[in-house]
Amino acid sequence: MFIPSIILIGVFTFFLFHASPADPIDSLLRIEGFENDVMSDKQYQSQYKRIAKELELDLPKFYFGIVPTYYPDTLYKVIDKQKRNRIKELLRHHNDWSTVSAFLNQGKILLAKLEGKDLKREVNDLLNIKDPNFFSTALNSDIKVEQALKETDFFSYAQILGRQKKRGFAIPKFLWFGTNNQFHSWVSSFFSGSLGRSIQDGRPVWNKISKALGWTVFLVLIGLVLALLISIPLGVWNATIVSSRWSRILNNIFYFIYAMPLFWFATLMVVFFTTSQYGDWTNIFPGVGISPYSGDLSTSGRILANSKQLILPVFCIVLNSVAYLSSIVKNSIIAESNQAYKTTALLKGLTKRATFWKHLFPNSILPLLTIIIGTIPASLSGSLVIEVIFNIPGIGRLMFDSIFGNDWYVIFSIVMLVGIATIISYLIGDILYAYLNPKIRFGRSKKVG
Amino acid sequence: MISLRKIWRYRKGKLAIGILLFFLLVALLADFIANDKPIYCTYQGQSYFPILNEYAAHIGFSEQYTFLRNNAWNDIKLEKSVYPIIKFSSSSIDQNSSSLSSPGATFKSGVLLKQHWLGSDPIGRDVAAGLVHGSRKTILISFFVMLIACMVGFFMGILSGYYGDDTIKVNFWLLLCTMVSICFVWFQWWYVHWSFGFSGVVCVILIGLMSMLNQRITGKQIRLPLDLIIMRLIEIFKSVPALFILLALLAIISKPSMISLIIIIGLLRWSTIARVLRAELLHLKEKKYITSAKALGASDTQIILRHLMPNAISPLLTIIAFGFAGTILIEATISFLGIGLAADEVTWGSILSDARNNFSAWWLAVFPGAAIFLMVIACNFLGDTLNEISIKSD
Repeated sequence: MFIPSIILIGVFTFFLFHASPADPIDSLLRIEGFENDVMSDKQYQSQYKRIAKELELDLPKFYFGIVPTYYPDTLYKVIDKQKRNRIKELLRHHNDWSTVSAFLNQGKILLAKLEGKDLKREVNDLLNIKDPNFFSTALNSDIKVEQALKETDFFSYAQILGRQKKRGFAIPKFLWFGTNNQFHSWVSSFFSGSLGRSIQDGRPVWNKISKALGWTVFLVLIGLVLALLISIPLGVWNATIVSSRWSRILNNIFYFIYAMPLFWFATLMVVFFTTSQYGDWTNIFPGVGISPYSGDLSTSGRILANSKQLILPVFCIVLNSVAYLSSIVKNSIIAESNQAYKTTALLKGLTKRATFWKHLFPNSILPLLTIIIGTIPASLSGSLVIEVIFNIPGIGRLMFDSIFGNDWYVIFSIVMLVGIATIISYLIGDILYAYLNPKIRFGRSKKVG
Repeated sequence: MISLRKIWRYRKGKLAIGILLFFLLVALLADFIANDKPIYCTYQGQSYFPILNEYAAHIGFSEQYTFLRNNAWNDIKLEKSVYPIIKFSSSSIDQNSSSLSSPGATFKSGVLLKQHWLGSDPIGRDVAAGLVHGSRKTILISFFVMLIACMVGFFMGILSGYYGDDTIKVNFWLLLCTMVSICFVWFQWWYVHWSFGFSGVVCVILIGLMSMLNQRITGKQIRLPLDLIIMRLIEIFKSVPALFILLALLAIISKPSMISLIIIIGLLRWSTIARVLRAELLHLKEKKYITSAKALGASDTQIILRHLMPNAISPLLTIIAFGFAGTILIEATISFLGIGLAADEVTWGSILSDARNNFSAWWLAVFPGAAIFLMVIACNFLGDTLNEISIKSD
């Protein structure tokens, strides 16, 4: 159940990645200093092919493909997404690959001949056109047929394409590509730790992620540990004074804190308690933001160096989860104290204190484990919001920045990584639970409980 | 069943109904509460209803007033006028208004004296008007999100809870044929651009045909492990933090419209509903009255609609109420992060996000956040009340 989930997440992520509109090659070329308009077409094309080869975009996408019979077998070799979509559009309106390819070839030859002439743009328009009806009108009126046009068959092919020839349905054809495909190499390189290059700055994705990972792990872990340290005693205390006035007040406070949107609370704290705008005493916490340059400090060093800036974000995270966890602790203690074994222990002669610590407490803390593991996705989401508000360079912030930079390699590596981390933590949680709880043993019995 | 009167008996229920009704009214009457046009006015002896006129013009019944051609409302001297409480609409910017003016600030705009009750944002839009019109978006989005979530969740929950792993048996070859033909239709939709509706209808017909034929054909039957498949699906949904999936999906549709936003969030939120319904149905379908209904010859549809759903509805309502709270939070979070609706559409989250860059403008942080908080807590109250009612009735 664990492997199929990861595989499905991988497939899902991969196809999302390919549905994304941006062209990674173009952006990478720009980072390396190759601009489309500075260099000649030929140079650009060769550089384009080099990057495509490096990113393995010149391979087929998946292990197999199912395409209409009139498609060529090697359409994947057209790397440029726009160009490929154009060819698909032409094929959709004219179900004959030989005509379409001849038309495109003639167009290429014609373009080479027209180098530097006015007509070039018009022919280009014609090659790029989406609506094939355009051919009949455009050829008759706009384009003056010059010598160049007569020398190639471009015109006649365009006329053929102008007469649509399409069927109402397509017959599928199965293509097998083998393991030499993008998905295979993407997955295998993912698990060997090379996640590609960021198209924002050309740095390896793993470099960026590993730097950010420390911050997020720190935030989530420290938030969890502190929250547990506070909420367990608080919950126990709350359970002992249940149905007193203090308990009611505490419950109400926690109820409101829990319902409070984390991003609102954090924004309020930032607005009111990091400046002296609202009176001298309100300037309690240092301003928002981690100093961007680290020198040669590692992530842990940077966390230490910026520990003052981290007080407020950690406080926000902890407060939110204390409200949740302590009420869980309280409820589970109350539920356990209604069990018969409590009476047994008391009748056996144990003191109230001993009954509580030996029997009640361990039993009521155990469910907390599952709940904590269950909150991991939520706390990662919470960490994203906190990182964005407080400018902490963690995974969430990286994801956020990458979305605005169309940096798909980073985005999908993060989604995949977060998914795997969550699944693994669920697994660990299950194992720990079974290990700690003598009532559950993994056996051959089909259904437990 | 749960009636409003029952909810009204609880203090939390009263509060919840009050707050939700208030926001609903505000959302419905948003144009009459916050608008830069008067509700009623007289000009040169004739009376006008500008806001109603705008509605009519929207449907195509009427045209814009002729005397307005080149003027804004605040430039015209009206003899009599009744303005809404908030004299701003959410998106239009009053030229005379200053940016980031504090709550209660008054200024002269043409012949009018206007007041920003709750201050204005960095480009001079009125916060109160933004809140009023934002409530409309919040309610619309969360309603339709939960509608989608309920439809998918009910469907999945019934499949996995009522039918389970063993009930549905299909002839293997029939199933294969149906799958292949559905794939074929999908293929045509993808490559030949068959229309979406047509493909959908063909698929439905195919499935209907399969279920009809299935009862006639004898042969090797295999059971469909629906429960297993759906539970796996839910597990996968649970394993990636919703916000991360949402951000990735929204980034692909670089400019999400309201509808795409609703569909995406809706498809992420069905899993809890499906899980609760499944658990409820697993428990209910063993009851004696179901067995008797079956013995009397009731069909599956009858059993589900007449006997199971009415009994399963109260825990479902609880979950749906909490689901509303979660949806409002998610919508607010993504517009707070600036990835939701387009930037010129004012939502509660987008007003709140302006506060991050303007620490001095506390009103940008307090009011929209309070609105979100109120909505969320009202939904939570409602959920708690429903939960209490369903526990009591058991």
